[in-house]
Amino acid sequence: MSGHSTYQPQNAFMKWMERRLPIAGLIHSSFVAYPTPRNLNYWWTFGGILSFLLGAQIVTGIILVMHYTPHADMAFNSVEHIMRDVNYGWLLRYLHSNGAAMFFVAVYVHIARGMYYGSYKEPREVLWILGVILYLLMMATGFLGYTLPWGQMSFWGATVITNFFSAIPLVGESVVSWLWGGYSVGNPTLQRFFSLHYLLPFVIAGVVVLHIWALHVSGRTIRPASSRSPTRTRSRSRPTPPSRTASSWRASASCTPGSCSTCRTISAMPTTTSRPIRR
Amino acid sequence: MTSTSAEPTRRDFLYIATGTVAAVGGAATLVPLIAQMNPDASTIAAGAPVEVDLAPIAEGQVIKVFWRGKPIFISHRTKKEIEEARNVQLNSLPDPEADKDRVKAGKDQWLVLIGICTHLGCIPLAHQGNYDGWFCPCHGSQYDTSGRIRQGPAPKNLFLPPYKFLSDTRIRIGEEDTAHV
Repeated sequence: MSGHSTYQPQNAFMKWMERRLPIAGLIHSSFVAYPTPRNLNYWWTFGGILSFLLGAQIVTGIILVMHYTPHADMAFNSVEHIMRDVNYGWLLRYLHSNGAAMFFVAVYVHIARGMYYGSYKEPREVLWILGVILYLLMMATGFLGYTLPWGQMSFWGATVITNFFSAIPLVGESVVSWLWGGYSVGNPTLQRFFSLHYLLPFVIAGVVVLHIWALHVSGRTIRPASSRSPTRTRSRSRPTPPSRTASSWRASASCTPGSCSTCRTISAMPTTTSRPIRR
Repeated sequence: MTSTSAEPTRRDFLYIATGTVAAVGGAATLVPLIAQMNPDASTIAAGAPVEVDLAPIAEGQVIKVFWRGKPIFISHRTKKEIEEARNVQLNSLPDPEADKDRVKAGKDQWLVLIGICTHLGCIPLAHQGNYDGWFCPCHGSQYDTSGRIRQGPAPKNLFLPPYKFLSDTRIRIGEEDTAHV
């Protein structure tokens, strides 16, 4: 998403298109020709995994809406209808609900990778902050989705979580009543939660675009090239000096390689870089 | 895939193998995503055959019943209406079909039709139009006393639902009588 595209359209139509809407060039330069360090490891796949999960959640969610009824008297029965009557409804609902859980598993790995490798440091502060916003949006979306089946867990979950806001001094009660659209969790609550549950994934998708844009401005974090060939192909980055290596970890721990699971785990992981790529 | 190598490489094989697995997986994923839009189990159950008691239908009367969300016309035809339906030159019809093929044998007075105009799906009105049958108010298609198209834009005769007689005064719509036709 930065700099000129190296994309060369092959056929006449794509050449015609590229001069008018260079979307193929954007995709090419962002995802095909975009240079990455050759020694990125599997922990860097979780961004892509999360993108896939977001797409899967949106697809299965849009399908579930075709069969779901957002009304306090009918929501539970419509979910039962999805589970029992709709063709593959059970599969689609389980993909959506378990997919949400897997979404959080993946995002925790993604966050942990970012913390371990110092992905939040200069110049990636905005990238990290966008990630935190995404995480907050995910939690809000997940909570809203949890209430939609309108069973006991949904109802009391909605009650407890919305009551958090009653702790706000002076205006707490008014805020909670505003959130509910009534004097308790009821049909108005369910209908607005459904509306927002449909809206927020698209907000997430929009922030994901900013997140990837910010990533492609700074480039991905890398580990040091202590024992490897040059790690980055972009000219504007400079090699980072080596930091701790696996062998130095072992030396400081004064044990033999592979003698305990901790050491094996650490050895298996790449070393920290913590060093930003300066432009 | 290097362009300098004429021989297939291991990488070519991996590309093709990976792409094949991805294509099969993608196609398998599409099955539930598409199948979910087909009629679900509750809709199929609600589309079961319905039984209609013909006894209260007076001669010359047409009633409407619903089966699978479609209006079904049941016409208790008069002698005159049957006569009209039989005395037509078949080759003069837009969609030639004999009246006896549109009723069950020996039940000439009972005409059972799907009450949906074959033009664009409106519901024709009974006892109207130039042929004493049905008239569609949307675009002026006219059907005769056998439900056959006679005039107007509709291309086909009114369709017949599957049905069978359980007794002289009782039919079941949604089930074909295998003994007849």
